[in-house]
Amino acid sequence: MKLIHSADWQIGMRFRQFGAKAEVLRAARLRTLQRGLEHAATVFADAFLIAGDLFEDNQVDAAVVRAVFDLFAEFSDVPIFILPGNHDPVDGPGCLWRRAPFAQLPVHVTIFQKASAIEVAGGWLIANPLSQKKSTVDPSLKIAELAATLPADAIKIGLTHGSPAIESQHQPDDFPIALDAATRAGLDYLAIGHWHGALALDGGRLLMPGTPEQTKFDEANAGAVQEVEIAVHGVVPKVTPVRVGELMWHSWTFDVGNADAAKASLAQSLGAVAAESVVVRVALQGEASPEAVASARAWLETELAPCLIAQIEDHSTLVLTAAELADLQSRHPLVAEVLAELRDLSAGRLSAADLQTLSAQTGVPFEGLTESVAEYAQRVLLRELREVVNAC
Amino acid sequence: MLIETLELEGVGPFRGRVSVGPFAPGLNVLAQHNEWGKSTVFKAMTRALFDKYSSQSEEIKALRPKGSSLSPQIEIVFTARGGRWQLRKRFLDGKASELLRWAGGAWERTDESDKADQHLRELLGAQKLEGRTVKPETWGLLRYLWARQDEPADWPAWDGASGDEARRRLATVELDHTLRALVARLDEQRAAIFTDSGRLKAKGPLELAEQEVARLESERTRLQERHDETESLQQNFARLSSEIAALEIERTRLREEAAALQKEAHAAERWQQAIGVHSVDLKQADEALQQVRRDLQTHERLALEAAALGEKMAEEKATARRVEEQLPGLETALAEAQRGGQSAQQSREIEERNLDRLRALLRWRTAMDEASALSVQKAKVEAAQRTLREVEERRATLPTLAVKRLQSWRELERTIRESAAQIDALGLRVTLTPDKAATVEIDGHAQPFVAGEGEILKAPQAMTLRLDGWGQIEIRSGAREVGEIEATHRAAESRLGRELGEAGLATLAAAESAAQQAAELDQQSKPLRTTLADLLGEQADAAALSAATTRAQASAEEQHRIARPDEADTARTANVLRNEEQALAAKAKVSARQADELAKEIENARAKLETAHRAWTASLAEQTTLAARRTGLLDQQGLLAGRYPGELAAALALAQSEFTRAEARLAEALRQLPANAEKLPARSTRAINAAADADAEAERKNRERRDHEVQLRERGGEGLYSLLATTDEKLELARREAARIRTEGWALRLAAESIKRREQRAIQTVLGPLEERLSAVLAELTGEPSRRVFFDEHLAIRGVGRSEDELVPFDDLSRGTREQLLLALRAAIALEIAKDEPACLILDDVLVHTDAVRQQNVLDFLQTLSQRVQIVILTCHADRYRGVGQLLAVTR
Repeated sequence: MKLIHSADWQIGMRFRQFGAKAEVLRAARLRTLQRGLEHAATVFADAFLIAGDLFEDNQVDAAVVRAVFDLFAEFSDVPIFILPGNHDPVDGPGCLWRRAPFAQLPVHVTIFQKASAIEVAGGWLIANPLSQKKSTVDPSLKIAELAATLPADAIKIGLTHGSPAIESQHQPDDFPIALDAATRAGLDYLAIGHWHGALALDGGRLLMPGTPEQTKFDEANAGAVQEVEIAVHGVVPKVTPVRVGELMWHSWTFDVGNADAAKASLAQSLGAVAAESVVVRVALQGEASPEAVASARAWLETELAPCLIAQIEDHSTLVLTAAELADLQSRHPLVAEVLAELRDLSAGRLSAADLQTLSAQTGVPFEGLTESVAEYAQRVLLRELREVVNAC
Repeated sequence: MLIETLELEGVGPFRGRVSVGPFAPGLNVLAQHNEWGKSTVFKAMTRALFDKYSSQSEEIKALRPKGSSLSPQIEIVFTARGGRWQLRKRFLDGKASELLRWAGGAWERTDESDKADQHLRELLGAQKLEGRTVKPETWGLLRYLWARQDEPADWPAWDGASGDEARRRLATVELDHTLRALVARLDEQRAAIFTDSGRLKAKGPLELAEQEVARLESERTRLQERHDETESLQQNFARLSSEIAALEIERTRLREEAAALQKEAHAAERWQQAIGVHSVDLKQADEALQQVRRDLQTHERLALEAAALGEKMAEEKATARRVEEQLPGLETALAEAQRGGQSAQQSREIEERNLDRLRALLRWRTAMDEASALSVQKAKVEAAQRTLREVEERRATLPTLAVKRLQSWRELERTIRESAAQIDALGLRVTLTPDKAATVEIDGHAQPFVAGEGEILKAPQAMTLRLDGWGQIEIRSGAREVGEIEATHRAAESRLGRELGEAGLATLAAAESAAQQAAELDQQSKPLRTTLADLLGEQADAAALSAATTRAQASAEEQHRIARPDEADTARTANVLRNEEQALAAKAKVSARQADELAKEIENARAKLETAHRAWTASLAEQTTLAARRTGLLDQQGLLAGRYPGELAAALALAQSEFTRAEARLAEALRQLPANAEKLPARSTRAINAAADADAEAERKNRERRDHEVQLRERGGEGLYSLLATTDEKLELARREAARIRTEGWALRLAAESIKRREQRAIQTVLGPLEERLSAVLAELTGEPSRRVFFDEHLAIRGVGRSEDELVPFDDLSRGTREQLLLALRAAIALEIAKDEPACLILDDVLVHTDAVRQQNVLDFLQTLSQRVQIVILTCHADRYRGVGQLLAVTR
């Protein structure tokens, strides 16, 4: 028996931090789903399991739902089994599973709207869908109850959604699943979903596949579906991750104080990835002159342009070279003093009393005297000074 | 700049061309009387130098001579920026502007029209022209050097570029132009985001961004609320589903309970009906048994009552016979009593008539005696009245003299007597003894004197004698007191005589006699009055006594008419009559009592007879009643016995047996009835109602769930989540943009204000020298070296004083001191300018409040200053500047 185990597709997910680019990320998830289905068709999988959270929410746009439905319809030779998760629970007539188009399912698509067991390829698929957002009840208990009614020697595969009850890693009301839930229920395999990183437990019988398409920078072991093969009842399943994710999320740093090395490193990193499918975040760090930072930014903007999405976050500290500083102090000692003060402010070296005084003297509200404002002020000061000097 | 010459035409009072000058490089004085046009000259020069030639402003038109349409023309020759220049300007009709430069011994036009005006402003260091006319604030530093007449003596506002420049020069702060430009650029960029006061720039990028954020937040809130509502609907739907399932179980249970209870209730109802029937049977059996028992008891009672009535009838017959026998004796006794009563009544009537006549005679006799007594009393009263009247008539002839008055007269008489003795002792006494008989005229009265006989002549003080053959002799005493005694004497005599006369008395002795007689008569009248009062008795006066007498006589006559006394009666006195009346009255009283007692006896006899009659009649009636009742009882006995076919005892045994059987049937039915049978119907009803309520609730919840279902189906397709996701993304971008702009704005402000703050601090460090300079000049002008001038970091004057503690604010200084301080300030600026460029200081009558002493100080100062600065003084006080500098010539 061969299964494709997936979960947490989160179709329609928000990516508010990316603004207008969010739509690109949402579209990518649909393509990834398509790749997963294609793989299932290719390997003649007996079932394509979606262990919860196919959709981000029950109120996703009808067009998005329709797109997913149409995609399923394209793969009529792939038996698809959908388990509603905590994001898209079976919680009433308004839920997307009970309205068009899922209200009228093609024969190869099954949605578990209640706990039940169905026969699949000689084995049994026992599912317990979620009908609410939170619960302290282990959803695998119902599966165990149903499994006990089935033939003992049959392959039994559980399907549900929740958090492995790992101490300090789960919330009590987040559908806790016992770490030995599969063996406890006499299952050959318990397919679950919820967390976005892949995780195998209970001797390889309990598996969290991870989200097939990464949703943020700090997610590990994501971007794949799990291909599961079960020869006979009682044998440990063979699980193979299959990469279907389209996007690679990378978070890199760039030391502006050592720009050449940073450029080389970043170029190497970029060379190792397909830029058109990369979501990248580059954090500028270190100390450098405004010119050096501006130069680094310009270089980065050019180099990162081919990336699908690139964000540059400037955490660098503005500094002048000794010569620049000497020149500034001799020509414009007053500006040098202001810059020194702004540097202290950006480095957090000013006391609350100093900040109060500065706020009163400059008219900038206390809450506005932040490090980022100070950094910006340094840059703008030097930029405008340069403009004025050039004009003179 | 240095002014060389100035020519005007068509300006103010100068219709024709007027030339002022030439101006000296030092001190120039244009001293002219009021209304001459000094200020007009000044205004025309500044308009020419700073206003656009094409200006048609009211200020320009006001330059024209009054009532004319002449075009103001001004020509100024001056040096500036190392060159010698001539400005030719014509306003309004034929407007033109030409700027010429002296080159190679001739004027060479460099610019005309707008270019000429602009070039001129550059030469003067003024700001670029934007309008057609300008205010002094745009004159550059000249605004501080050229003091206008009637200008308020206020410390200048260091505003604008010229203010900055002045401060820079005064404070000798070498401001970095680069920094000025830098700050200006920062401020310019900041101003696009925030206003100077820190508010958002209206329609600026930050305000627009925040508006967009607010709009998106509002939209997001709306969507979230909608989303939450949907979630809430979902939860309610799930809850309702769960509740409905529970309710279904409850409904089934309730229906089963209701059915079971209904069955129990029906069985109980049947037993209750049986109990009802058996209870009725038992009741009827009991009633029948009781009826037989009652009939049996009644039958026995009737027999007893009939026997008792028979005995009572026998007793009544005996009683009637006994009373009947007493009746004749009682009737006889009554007849005897009635006869005795009639006799007693007749005697009583006779005695009462005799008593009445005797009482009438007694009243007549009493009235007769009273009338007689009153007549005697009346005669005595009339005699006493006559005696009293005679005494009173004699008393009326005598005056009534009070003892006090009489005493007063006695005092006067003693005064007269004593004063006469004193006069006699102290007055004149002349003894004339003629040798021969003669007549001497004494105080005008002739008095004969016998020869040889001495005659003593007396007078109180003076005496005039006329002697024949000799003449008049006047003798006068020197004692004044005799005069006073004489006056007293005469006054007493006069008063006594007058008062006695008024009382009708001749002398004091007559008065004394009259008083004694009056006292005696008064003494006599008192007992007479007492006697009269006693005689009157109860009567108020004689008239009342007379009336009483008349009434008594009338009463006697009336009683006589009533009593009609005969001769024997007339002979009986009142006492006799009274004694007879008392005796007869006592006798009549006894007779009356005897008559009353006999009347009571009659009544008693009659009552006894009537009582006996009633008792006899009643006994007869009772006998009849008892006989009737006995007959009725016997009839009832017969009827009761007729109800039962057999004996009454047998009927009682049968009824007893029926009752026992009915009782057994009822006990069996009660045993079969459930213990809570009476509660079963209510319980059954409650169970049915509960089932119905559960049905209704289930229906309501089903309906509610269907409503939710419809709503959820409708909302499910709205794509709320996707809308939220899109809105979130837009909102994130908008917030970032707003944050970016705000950061930029705050950063710009922080940078600019930090520079300005340091700049001000730098200025503050150099204020000391400036304060020293101005303090020295002020000391020179005012002659008070101990006072200092104090500035703040903005170069605004804080005040003048010996120390900070004694600081007098600028506005509180006298107008004269403020003028002098402003002169010092203008001089300081002029000296600063003069370091680079010739400077011209114009003072248009601005020192008018300076006193004569300080005026000299001012002149000393101006003369010294004029060595480095051109000074033009416009004044109407030529005497104040006489001998100072160059008097400006005016050529028409």
